[in-house]
Amino acid sequence: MEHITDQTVVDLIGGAEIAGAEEHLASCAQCRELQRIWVQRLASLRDLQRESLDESELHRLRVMYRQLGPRPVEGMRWVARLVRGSDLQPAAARGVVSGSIFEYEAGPYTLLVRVGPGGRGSRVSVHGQLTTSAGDAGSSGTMALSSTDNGAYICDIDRFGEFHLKGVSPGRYRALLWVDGGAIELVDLSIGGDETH
Amino acid sequence: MHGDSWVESRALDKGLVSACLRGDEEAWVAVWTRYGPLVKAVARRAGCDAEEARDVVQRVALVALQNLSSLKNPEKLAGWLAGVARFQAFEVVRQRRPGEDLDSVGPWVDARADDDLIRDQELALLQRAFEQLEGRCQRLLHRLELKEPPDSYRDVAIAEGLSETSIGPIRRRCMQRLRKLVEQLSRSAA
Repeated sequence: MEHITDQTVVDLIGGAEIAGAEEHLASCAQCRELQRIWVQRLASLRDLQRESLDESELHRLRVMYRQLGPRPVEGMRWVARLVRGSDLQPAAARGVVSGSIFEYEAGPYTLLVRVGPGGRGSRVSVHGQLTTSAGDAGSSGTMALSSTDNGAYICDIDRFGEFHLKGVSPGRYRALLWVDGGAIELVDLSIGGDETH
Repeated sequence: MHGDSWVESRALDKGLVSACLRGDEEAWVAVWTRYGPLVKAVARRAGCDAEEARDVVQRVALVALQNLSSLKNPEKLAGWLAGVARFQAFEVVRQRRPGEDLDSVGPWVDARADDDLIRDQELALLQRAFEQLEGRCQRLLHRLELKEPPDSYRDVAIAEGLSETSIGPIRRRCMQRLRKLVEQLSRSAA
């Protein structure tokens, strides 16, 4: 029997019975390789069919698009653009509250924020650490709190993933992170008084 | 996008990229509805678990946001996303195994492994080919070739309103259509 064609291999996979084909496959490495490629292709399609994005993932991608936009900009310019933005948007992160420490899961990162007394009057200090989902220190970068009422506070995130902002006026802020040469993650915070959320 | 041509499919990707750059949020969602499963499949192949694959989607989305405007071939968006997904999945796995000698883990951890890249590109191509099958072929192949465990011919016949004896020949015809599409797309991609 001559070598099996692509068409015949597909017919065999599709359930056709072709005289002599199975015997030929058993003795021909070249044709078995052809068969293997098609079996692998179907396995690949099964991989694809198994995967999907749920509503929460699509929502986060939608929020990411609204907040970051599809533009290739450099970090500080990006932060600056967002700091100058006016309206607070829905948070892109999921969070849990534990005492005065706030933990946010944001993409591949976890952001820990601790708010304490600091500066004069009702001003507070904001300390935090960015870690990866594996618990390692996040990359160095930039942290900013922006608000339409109180302006912006910006500081560096050090190589241990830590940042410190002092003398922050109470109010609603959006936390902006610039890390890993491109990944900004955002959360909305109310800071100060009795309503640190 | 049933039954559209290869050219239309590529034009659709190019159109989606253009729309994203114009600020069309629905186009952005359409990109991820269409290619999110592809990105996840690449991540899972690279050794990511389900949660890590979700992270890879976010990472790839960020890279896409920063690079959409500079894509040289927006019509090849699927292949580009697959390539970025492979690299990002590699990073995720590397962070998970900081002290491990990656060379000893397996070829999948090498983001530059030619075979893996080719397989990822083929994954994108297979997705396109499957999408271009007519609806009945998609449903039938899904039930008989992709679903685990597959449906019986009897169940497929009832669901499709066909006689049971016709399922075998239709299955083979659908497989041949898929083969021709893969052949056509491979030639075009080359």
